[in-house]
Amino acid sequence: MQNNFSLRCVLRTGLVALSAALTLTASRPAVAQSAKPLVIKASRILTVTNGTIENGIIVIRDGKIAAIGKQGEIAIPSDAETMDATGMTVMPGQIDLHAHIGNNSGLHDYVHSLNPGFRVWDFIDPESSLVKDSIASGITTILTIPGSGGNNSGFGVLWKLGGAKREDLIIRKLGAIKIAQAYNPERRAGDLGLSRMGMWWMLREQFERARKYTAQWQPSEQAGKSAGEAPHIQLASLSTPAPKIAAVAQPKRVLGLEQMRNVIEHKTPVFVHTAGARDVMATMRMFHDEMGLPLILSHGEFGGRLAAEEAAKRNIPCNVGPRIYDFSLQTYDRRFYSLPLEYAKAGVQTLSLNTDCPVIPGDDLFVQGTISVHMGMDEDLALRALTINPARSIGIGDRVGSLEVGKDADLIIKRGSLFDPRTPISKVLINGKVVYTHGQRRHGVPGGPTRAGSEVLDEDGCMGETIEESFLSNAR
Amino acid sequence: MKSRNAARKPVWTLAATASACCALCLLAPVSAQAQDDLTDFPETVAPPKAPPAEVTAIVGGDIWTVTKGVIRGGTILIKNGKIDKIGGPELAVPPGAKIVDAKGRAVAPGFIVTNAQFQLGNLAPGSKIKDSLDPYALAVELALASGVTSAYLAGSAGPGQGGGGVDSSNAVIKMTVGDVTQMLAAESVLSTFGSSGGRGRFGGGGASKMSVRWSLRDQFRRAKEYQQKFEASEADKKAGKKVVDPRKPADADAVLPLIRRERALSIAASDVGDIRWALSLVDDFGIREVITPATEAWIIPDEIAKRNVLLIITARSRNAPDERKNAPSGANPDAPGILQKAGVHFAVLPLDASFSIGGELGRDLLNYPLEAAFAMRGGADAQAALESITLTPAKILGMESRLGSLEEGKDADIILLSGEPLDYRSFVEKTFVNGKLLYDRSKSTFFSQIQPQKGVPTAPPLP
Repeated sequence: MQNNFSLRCVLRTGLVALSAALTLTASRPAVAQSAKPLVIKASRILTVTNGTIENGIIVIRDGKIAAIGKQGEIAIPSDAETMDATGMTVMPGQIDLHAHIGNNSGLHDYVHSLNPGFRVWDFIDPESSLVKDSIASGITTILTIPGSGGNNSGFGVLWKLGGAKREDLIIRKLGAIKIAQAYNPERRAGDLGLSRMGMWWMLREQFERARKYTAQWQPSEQAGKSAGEAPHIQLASLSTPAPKIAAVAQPKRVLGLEQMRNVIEHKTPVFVHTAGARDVMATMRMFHDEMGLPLILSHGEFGGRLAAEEAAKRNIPCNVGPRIYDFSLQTYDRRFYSLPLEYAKAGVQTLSLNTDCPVIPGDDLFVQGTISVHMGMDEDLALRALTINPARSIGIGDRVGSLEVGKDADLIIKRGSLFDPRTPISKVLINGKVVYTHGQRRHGVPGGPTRAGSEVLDEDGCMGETIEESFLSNAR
Repeated sequence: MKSRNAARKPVWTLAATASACCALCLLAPVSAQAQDDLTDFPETVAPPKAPPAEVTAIVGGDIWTVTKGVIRGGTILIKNGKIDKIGGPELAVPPGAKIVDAKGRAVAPGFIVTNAQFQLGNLAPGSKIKDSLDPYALAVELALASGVTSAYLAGSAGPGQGGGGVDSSNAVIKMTVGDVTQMLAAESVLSTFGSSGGRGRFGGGGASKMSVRWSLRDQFRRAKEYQQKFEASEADKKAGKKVVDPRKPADADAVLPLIRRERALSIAASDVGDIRWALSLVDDFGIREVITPATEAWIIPDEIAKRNVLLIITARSRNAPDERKNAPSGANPDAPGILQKAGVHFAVLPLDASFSIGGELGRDLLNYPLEAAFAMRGGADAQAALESITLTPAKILGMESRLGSLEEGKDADIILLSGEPLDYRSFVEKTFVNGKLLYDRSKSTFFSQIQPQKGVPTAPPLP
């Protein structure tokens, strides 16, 4: 695996180091409060990693899958609650690595093109109606990232949906650094970054600075033993004495670069908005070949598929969407090409699909799979592209993305295939807790309408549509 | 580009076999002049003497008639652009008929779109639809590849657009690639009215919802009075009495076809209040009506069913409820089932009613049947879902005698699919319009390289 960076993501931002309580270790969500195990009996279980179990059973304890197998072969705990899903299929919750939901106006700001200090996790909103739509369509884990208005847009957050308390939901605060490398971030203010020359140089220059910064800090930290002994920002109101200065001379602390150290140290990947064969190649050259960083290619549209074999050679995870086909682009042959299929055919192993929500609504993530299957993709591969592949891409494949003993009980119960729009999703569970039941989306007065979200994009201050449209017009 | 060239045959040869088709009646009177070689698409065509009618037989497919269930392994005979005969495997194919093997295919009526938001030509302001159609528009070819054989097209800036008022500049267009003479299937099939009216609360005089609605009601009232007087005076005339013709109000012509129930009024209304206002017109003036997008129709389905009003909805609407209302509001994904149960017939439209080549799929007309599939997710049964893209659109456009189902005497607008019409794995394999094969997936560039997934029974049978 290319992206075998650590799950535990210890940050050293000076501000945060002020408080031990805020130490940024990867938090684990609270588990279902009930001590009683939950047993789900289903006609079919799609484990994704270990094949299909007909007439299967899943035992869930403390939010985790405690046992999974055929009915009759698995012991049912005597105190268990039972959920009968006969006639239904159980499958893992879906994972969307490219979404802009629940980020409460935190899309991007255009003042600077490089924003290494930006991060989304400070202000995600689990109550966003787009979040509720996503849950109702079986999305359980999401990477909410800043937009593509700048070259370095800051850090996205990796979190689970289906809970009110933000701190319980976050899997990794610095989920990935969001880099935008093609089309959208072209600066129209007339300053540096109007051209690819400018954009490429700015990115290289900043990553080089982050690398040097990391190289400066590592020896001094080893000497000083911990980040806790680093000099902090001093607030007048604080009565605590200033921490003692380590024996080794400390380099100057720079907050933005402090966040970027996590990338340089492979604790979080580089997630790149890129498209077109030329820019997809440039992305791979820059971040993979030259810098050797864990990289996820996102979008990859507008002819980017023509570089798919190069991505496969490098074993780079590709996260395709929201556009799901090319029509005649760069080939001028009046053909429709299914992008997921083209990336898969080129040999890309870790292929995932996205919505770029709200460009495509979160509740249509499965439709990306539906269309991929329609265009000829094998259903098993399409399911992997929505579950285990994105989990592995972002480094949490040991925790979510498939139904295995020890993994989080994030799952979907549905009649028929996930990709069949003719049947509704019956239930969604996150950490073993039911977070959605079909027909219970209503709110307000009894029998009232569903709280189904909104067409309006300003829910999260997302100007995604506009930007993506400009993306498109640029590509033409 | 082969298919393009093939389509560029002299127009008269294509028109010949379809000369019986009433589409031609709607065009300018047929002239006996020799055709003008300088025009690509002459408006008036001299049909040569009709050769003996060719028969095409579509044989062996499962025929989804829409109105009479599914005929397994059935046969359809096409003559003069119409469905001549339809039946089971026992139906004899006349000698000399052109055979189309449909074994393993689903055979269904071409899909009908109730609001084309795509380029079918160059509809400049003030131009007539029939002067603006482009039979080589990419959208025409994409429509055929998507199984869409006809679509409603609104005319250019009519009075209905933006400011209220009734507008009837529209047409039903057939996707006869390469043949402009067959594109215009019918004109002024609907009258439209934007019920919201107005240019905001502070718009100029006559722009508010109040005044726009008042004007319409007044127009209807005067037209209805005129119609009553007219009928009385006609009766008097017949009885030999001396009569003075009633004076026709200057603006009556726009709404008389509605008062006479010759066509339906299509009203844009989404919340309960607007829908109820639209329904009041049915009560007061006895008109036929279509309401779209009818987002909150699920809250008052019985009121709609009682008046036989047809709807154009999207089953994927996510309009949030109004939190301030102490009553149901907003969209409901279960609306299709609620409406069907109440006896309301609806057509569906995707959020993007165009044929996009921009890369997003599953949200526009390239995958039109998905919209009907989503209606099933919302509780509608398979029959109502199939009707929502075939027969109900035909009814909305007043074309159900010609379109929307596979029945003898109807236009031979037929598609062959690789699987069930509403299965997400199915591909449109062949499309016939007026009995002519105009799209063949294996010969088209668009999708010919794709191997569609077979219908693996991953789903237990649907109810």
